[in-house]
Amino acid sequence: MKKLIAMLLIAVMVMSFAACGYINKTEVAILWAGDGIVKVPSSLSNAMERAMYIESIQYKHYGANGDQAVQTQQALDALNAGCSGLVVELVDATAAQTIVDAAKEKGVPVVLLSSSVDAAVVNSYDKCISVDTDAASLPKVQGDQIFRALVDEKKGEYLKGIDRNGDGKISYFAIGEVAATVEVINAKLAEKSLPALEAVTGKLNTIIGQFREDSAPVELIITTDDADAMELLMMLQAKGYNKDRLSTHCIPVFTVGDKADYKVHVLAGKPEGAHTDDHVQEYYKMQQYLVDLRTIEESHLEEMIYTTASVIGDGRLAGTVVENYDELAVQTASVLAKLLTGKAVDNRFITIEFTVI
Amino acid sequence: MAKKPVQLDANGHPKFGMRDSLAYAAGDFGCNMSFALKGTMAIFWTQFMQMPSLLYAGLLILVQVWDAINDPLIGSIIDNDKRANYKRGKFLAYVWLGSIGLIVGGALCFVPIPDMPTLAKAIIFVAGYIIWDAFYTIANVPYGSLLSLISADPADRASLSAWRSVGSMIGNMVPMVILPMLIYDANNNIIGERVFLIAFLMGILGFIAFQFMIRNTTIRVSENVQCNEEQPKFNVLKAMGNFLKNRPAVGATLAAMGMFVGMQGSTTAVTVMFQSYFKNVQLSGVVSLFAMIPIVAFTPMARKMVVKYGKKELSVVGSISSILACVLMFVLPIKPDGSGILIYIVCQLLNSLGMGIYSTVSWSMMGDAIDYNEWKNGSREEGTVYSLHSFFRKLAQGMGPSLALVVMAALGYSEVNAGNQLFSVALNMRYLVAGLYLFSAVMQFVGLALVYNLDKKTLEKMNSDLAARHAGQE
Repeated sequence: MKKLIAMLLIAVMVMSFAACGYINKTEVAILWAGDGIVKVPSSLSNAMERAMYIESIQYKHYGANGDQAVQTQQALDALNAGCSGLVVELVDATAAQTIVDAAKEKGVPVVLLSSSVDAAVVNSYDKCISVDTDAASLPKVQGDQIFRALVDEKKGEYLKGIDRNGDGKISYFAIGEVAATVEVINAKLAEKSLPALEAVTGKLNTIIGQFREDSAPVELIITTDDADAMELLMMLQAKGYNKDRLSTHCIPVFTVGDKADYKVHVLAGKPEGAHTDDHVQEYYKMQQYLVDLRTIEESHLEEMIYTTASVIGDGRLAGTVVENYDELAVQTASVLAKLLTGKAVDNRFITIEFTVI
Repeated sequence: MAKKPVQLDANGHPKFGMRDSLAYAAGDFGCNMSFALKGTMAIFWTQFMQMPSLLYAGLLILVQVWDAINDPLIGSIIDNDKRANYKRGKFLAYVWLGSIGLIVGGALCFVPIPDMPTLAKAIIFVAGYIIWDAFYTIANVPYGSLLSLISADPADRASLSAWRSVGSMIGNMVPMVILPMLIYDANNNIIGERVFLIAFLMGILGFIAFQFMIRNTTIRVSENVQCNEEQPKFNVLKAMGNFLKNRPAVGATLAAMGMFVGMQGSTTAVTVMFQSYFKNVQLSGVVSLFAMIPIVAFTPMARKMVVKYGKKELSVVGSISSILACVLMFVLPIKPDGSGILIYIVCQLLNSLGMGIYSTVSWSMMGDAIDYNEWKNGSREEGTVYSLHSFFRKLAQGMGPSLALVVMAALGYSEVNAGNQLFSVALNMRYLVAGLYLFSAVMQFVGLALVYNLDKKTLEKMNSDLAARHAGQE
C-alpha cells in the first residue's frame, strides 16, 4: 500500500511539471481604453481572458479610463519592464504609431485591437497585427437578422403578426443611417416577391403618440444605436407596447450595440427615502422600466451591469447587432500565440464580421 | 389463437416470471421520473428564479433534514395501517397514492414565477419540496418493501433487485442525456417555464409506469413485512454509541458520506462548468452518460471479483483509482475546448469506475458490519445500524449541494449572471469540480482503507466463527 501511494505521488509530480507552463516567460500587457476591470460576462475583456487561457498566454490588464496619454505611458512602462507582447485597444487611433514604434524598438509583438488604425501604421512593423470588426458587414448582418424576423423563408410570406394592418407591406421607422440595411432587406424581400419596406417619416413623439389599442402606425423599428433603442422602448412601453414576453402589442425593434447600461435609468427613477425591497419592486413595475421583470433585490441591482442584451428576446427588443467579441478575442490570442512562438502570420489585417444577439 | 393458460404455483398465484421483473423495474423507472430533475433545482432556483445562492443553500439544508426524517416517519404510518380492505394490498395502495401526488409533485418544485418577492419564493420552494418529498416517500418506501412480498424465493428476489437497477438506470440515463438538450437555450441559460412543463410531463410518465407496475404485480407473500425494521425502544445516545464502536459501520458510512457530499455537491458546479467554461451545457448529459460506461461494464463482473479479491480490497483500489483520476483532473490541461472535454471525460471514466466499485458493494458491506456487531458483541442491532447509516447518507446528500453552493458563491458564482458567468469564475468552477470529486475520493479511501477493518481474511474468519456459533446454538 505504501509503495502504491509513493508511486502515485511521483506520478502526480511528474504530470504537474509537464502540465503547467505558459508559452511566454513574461506577461503580455493588455491595454484597454476603459477601466480594464473584467466585470461583464458578455464583454470583450472577459472573452479575452478565456482566449488567452486557451492559448496558455500569461497576461495582465491595464485600464486607461479614456485617457490616451495614460495608455501610451502604460505601453512604454510595460515595454521597459520587459513584457512579451502588447494588445492595445486604443483610446485615440492617432496614437498608434508611437506605441508601435516603441514596440518595434524592443522587438515585441503588438496587436491593435478594435482600433480602426491606418494600414500604414500596421505595415510599419512586421510584428504588428490589426484585429478589428468589419464595419462594412453591418448592413448585411442586420439586414439578414431583420429579414429572418419578418418573413417565413420556406413559405415566402410574412410571419404571423408582422403585417399588423394587413396591407401587404411593412412600414418602418428608423433612427440613424439605415439605408444600406434597408437595401439588403428589400433585396431579400424582392426574391420572395414581397413589396419593399415603406418608410414612415415624421417626429418620433408624434408617431408614438399615434399608437393606439387597435393599431400602430409602424410595424418595424430600426435604430443604429442601442441608447436610442432604449429611449424608444420606454416611449412604446408608456403606450402599452413591448412591455414583456406576454404582451400582445409588440413592435419588433432592432438596434446595434450592447453598451447601454439600463440600470442607470432604473436607479435614476428610484423613489427617495427609506423603503423596503418590495416597495422598490412595485415602483419598478409601475414605472415599467426596462428591467427584466424578475424580481431583483436592490443590493443585486447595485452590482449588476444591465445591458441591451439583457432585454432581448421577450418582445421588448427583438435583436441587436454587436461586435463578435468571442471571435475578436480568439483571433487576437491565436495570432499573438503565433508571434510569441516565432511562427509566421500570413494575414496582418484580421477583420471579423458583426454578429447578432 | 387461444390464449396461453397462466401457469400457477403451489399457492395458486401466477408463477413468477418476466412480467414480475418488468413490473418491478417500471416502479423504479416511475420513481426516477420524479427524481431525475432534482439535480436541476439549484440552477433553476438561483439562475432562473434569481434566489440568492446563500439563501437557497440554507433552505436546502432545512428541507434535506426533513428528507432524512420523513422516511421512518412515513414508514411508521404505513406499518401502523392495519386496515385489511385494500383491493390490491396495502403496499400497492400506498404506491398508487404516491403516484397520484407525484403527477404534480415534481412540478411543484419548479414553479416558474420569478416575479415574486424573495419571501414568497422561499415559502414556495420549501412547500413544494416538502409536498414532493412526502409523495415520493409514500411511493418509494412501500415500493422497496414489495421486493420481499412479490416472491420468497432468493433467486426471484435477486432477479427483482437486478431489474430494479435496470429500471433505475433507464430512468436516470435517459433524462440525464435528453434534459440538458431541452431545458437550456442557445446561450446556456435555463428556460424555467420549460423545466416546469417537463417536470409535469415526467410526472405523467411516472404515473403511467407506476400503473403498469401496480397492475402487473402479484403479491405472493403475506403482507406482514414492516417498512421499518422491527426494533426495541430506541435510545438515541446508546444507539449512536454502539454505532460508533462498530468500525466497519463507521468506515462504510464515512465512505458513503464522502461519496454523496462530493458527487451531489458537484452537480451544480458541473452544470455551471458546462454552461460557462465549456459553453456547451447540452453536452453535460452525454458526458455523464459516458461516465456511467465503466460501472455498467463492471457490474456483471462484480460478484466474481469480490469473491476473488474481497470487498474491502476491491473498494480501496477503486478509491485509489478515483483519487488518481481527480488529481489528473486538477493537473492536466483541461482547457475550455474540444481536447479539454476529452481529457475531462477520460478522467471522469476513471473516477466513476472507482466510485462505482464501492457503490456496488456498499450495502453488502453494511450487512457485514451488522455481522461484525454480532461477532464482537453478540447482538446484531441491524435496525439501528441501517437506520443510522441511511440517516448519515441522506444528510450527506443534503449537505453536499448546500456546502458546494456556499463555496461556489465564495468563488464568485453569481446567480445574477445566470448561465454566463465571468471566465475567472468559470475557471474556479473547473477546479472546484475536481476538488469536490477529490474530497469524495479521499473520504472514501479514509473510510475504507483506514477505518473499515473487514478485509477478506478477517471476513472469512468472522463468517466461519458466526457459522460455528449458530450451529452450536441449534
